[in-house]
Amino acid sequence: MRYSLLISLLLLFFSKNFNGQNTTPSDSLNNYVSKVNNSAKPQELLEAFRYFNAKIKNDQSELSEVYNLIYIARIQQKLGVLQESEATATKALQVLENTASSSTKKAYQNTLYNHLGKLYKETGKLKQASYFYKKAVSNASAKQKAILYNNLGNIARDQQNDSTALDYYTKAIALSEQTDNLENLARARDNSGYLFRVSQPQRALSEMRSALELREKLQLQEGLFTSYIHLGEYYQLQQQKQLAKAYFIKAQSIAEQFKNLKYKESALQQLLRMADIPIAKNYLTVKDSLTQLNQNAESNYLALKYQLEKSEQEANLFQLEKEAEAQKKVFYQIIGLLVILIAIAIFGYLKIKHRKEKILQVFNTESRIAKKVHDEVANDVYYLMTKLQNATYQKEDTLHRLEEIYQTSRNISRENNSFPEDENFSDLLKELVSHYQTSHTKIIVKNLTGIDWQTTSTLKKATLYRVLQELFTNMKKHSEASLVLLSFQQKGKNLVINYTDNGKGSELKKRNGLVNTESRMQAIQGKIIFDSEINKGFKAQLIC
Amino acid sequence: MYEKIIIAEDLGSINESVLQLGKKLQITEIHQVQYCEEAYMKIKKAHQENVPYQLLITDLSFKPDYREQYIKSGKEIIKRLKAEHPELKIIAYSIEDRKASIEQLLKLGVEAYVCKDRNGLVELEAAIISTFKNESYISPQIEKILDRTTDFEIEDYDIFLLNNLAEGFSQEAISKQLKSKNIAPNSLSSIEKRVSKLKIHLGAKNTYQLIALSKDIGLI
Repeated sequence: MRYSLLISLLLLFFSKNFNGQNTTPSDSLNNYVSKVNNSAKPQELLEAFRYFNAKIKNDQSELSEVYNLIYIARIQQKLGVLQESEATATKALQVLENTASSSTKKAYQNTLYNHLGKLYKETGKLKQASYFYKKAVSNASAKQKAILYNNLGNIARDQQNDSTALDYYTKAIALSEQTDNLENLARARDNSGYLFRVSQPQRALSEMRSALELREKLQLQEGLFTSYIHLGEYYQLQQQKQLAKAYFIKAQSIAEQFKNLKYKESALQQLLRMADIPIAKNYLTVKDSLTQLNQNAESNYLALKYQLEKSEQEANLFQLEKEAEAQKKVFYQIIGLLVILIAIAIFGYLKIKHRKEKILQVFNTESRIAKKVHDEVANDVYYLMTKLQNATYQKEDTLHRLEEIYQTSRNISRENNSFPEDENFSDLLKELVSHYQTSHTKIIVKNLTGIDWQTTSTLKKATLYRVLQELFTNMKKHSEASLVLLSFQQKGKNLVINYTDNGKGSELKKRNGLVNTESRMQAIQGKIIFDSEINKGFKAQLIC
Repeated sequence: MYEKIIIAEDLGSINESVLQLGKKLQITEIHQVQYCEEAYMKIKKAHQENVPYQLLITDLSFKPDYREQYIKSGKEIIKRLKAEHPELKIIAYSIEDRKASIEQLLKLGVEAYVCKDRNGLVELEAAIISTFKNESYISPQIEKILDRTTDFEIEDYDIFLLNNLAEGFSQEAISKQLKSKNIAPNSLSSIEKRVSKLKIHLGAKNTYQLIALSKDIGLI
């Protein structure tokens, strides 16, 4: 109770100071400002609240918004909704943050720090209170500083930290003397004296008396009230009940003068305590515990409410996150779907392309074989038939001709039968070579056994087999070569096969079979390079 | 002569001529089938009834038709029968003339291999007679293929010889060089042998032509 007294004094001081910043306040504004500063009636406070709330919506500048918020915070404090008041003050500070630095900004900030310090002190959060008071100190004038040091001293006293409290009071006294501010000097002396009332009664008394003298001289009614109460308490401690009672009565008369209910209450309470009536004492004890209970309940409620708000906010935040996540999910799903669709489209396209290529390949092979059968077998059979129409043709000749046709057709079959994949590839190649080896055509092989065919795929082997077969067939048909060299080489990952013959060679007009070898090698990501000139032999290099 | 033989051949005309051959050889019981699986079943059944076949003449490739076959090729039936009834003699009779596949058949243990060509029937007759006398038979042209030395490969050693000959060194000088480099074989006679082998394989009449040919095809 007694501290709130000081605080309201402070509030008065700051609001006066603060009002000074507004150069042209309107009449209604003045009216409401004084209501906020002086009235404790809820009805009037609510009116003022409505006024400032409406004013926020009309006022454009940020500084005037802060001005209105400060008053709202004060009204809320007076109405006892401390949590709201705190929130309002904090919001005002945030708005201030964004404004350009100015003297007005500093003054507002100080006012708000002071306001928050008071709020926290009222709710018993002493640490926060001293934090904000200290913040306010850095920007304050010497006069304001004296008041703030007083407040800080009071907090330290409440925290049972007497030495710190004394430090602050001493600073306040020094500052007050420096600025010749007797009001503040009296306050600081009174407070420091009150601090010593138990430990050093003599010192306490002299300090408090000097403060009282100053106040009497200056006729500071509010200060006198505090002094009387403090002195009363002092004498009560000293068991000088008559003196104590006298001071309390003085305090009560000041309260009557002021018509201030809070002052009245605190003076009467002290007097009641003095009157030796057991029922009164009981009543005071009960009242104190009730007040305590109410305060606890209120702070619990506030804490709970604050928690609720917080969890509500969190829930909202969570909801927002969930929505964002859901959107993200949809986004990824769409992308995934697109990827799948594109993949299917590509797959389908490749499949169709592949099928076409395969059909084309089959068709090419078929026509190649058909052409061969026509050129090599059907022609020979027709020739034989015409010969047989000539009666003089001998049986032995016929048989001989037939065998040739048989051999030809068998060769066609051999060239086109399935590739024997289960056989040793090296042996298979040797056999292929031996098949084309005649007394007129020597084929020599270099480094075939040096190649490891284990890791080569069946497709690659089959391709190489067919290509070499094609080269040999070509050689047999056209080159008249007497010597062929087939050399194998492993170059890193690549297999290189060189085919060289000493035949007639040719102009590099690719014949059907050789074009086939090119497409075959391409199919296994390999290539074939031809090199030939008339009468300079024929060369081919296979790389895969 | 054999008393009971079986012929697996899907071409009717060939079947007929083989049948004629069997009659000529006075074989009393000749059975003909067109699928190798059928042949396998018949052989199994005859064995169970204690009237086994003495000889199987089989083709290697059979045209697939509407009938689903478990045993699809002559090679497969030969493999099975040689494992299950080693006493049954088998003559493979096919147009196949690839060295590797014929060598595989011989490894499986067929008694004879006859190539279907102009002299096929004559050779088959010889094969039947030979196998009856517990001798193996292989058509002469196939024997030639099997004998063919395909194992010749040009080696670095040969390239070394050819290079030195091309530079005009005598075989004696090359022998000395090899000896100094500790490369074997390095005797004059082994060098002479190798050079003459190279001449054969490259089809050269003399050393000069050997070098010329080697240069032609880029060996050196």
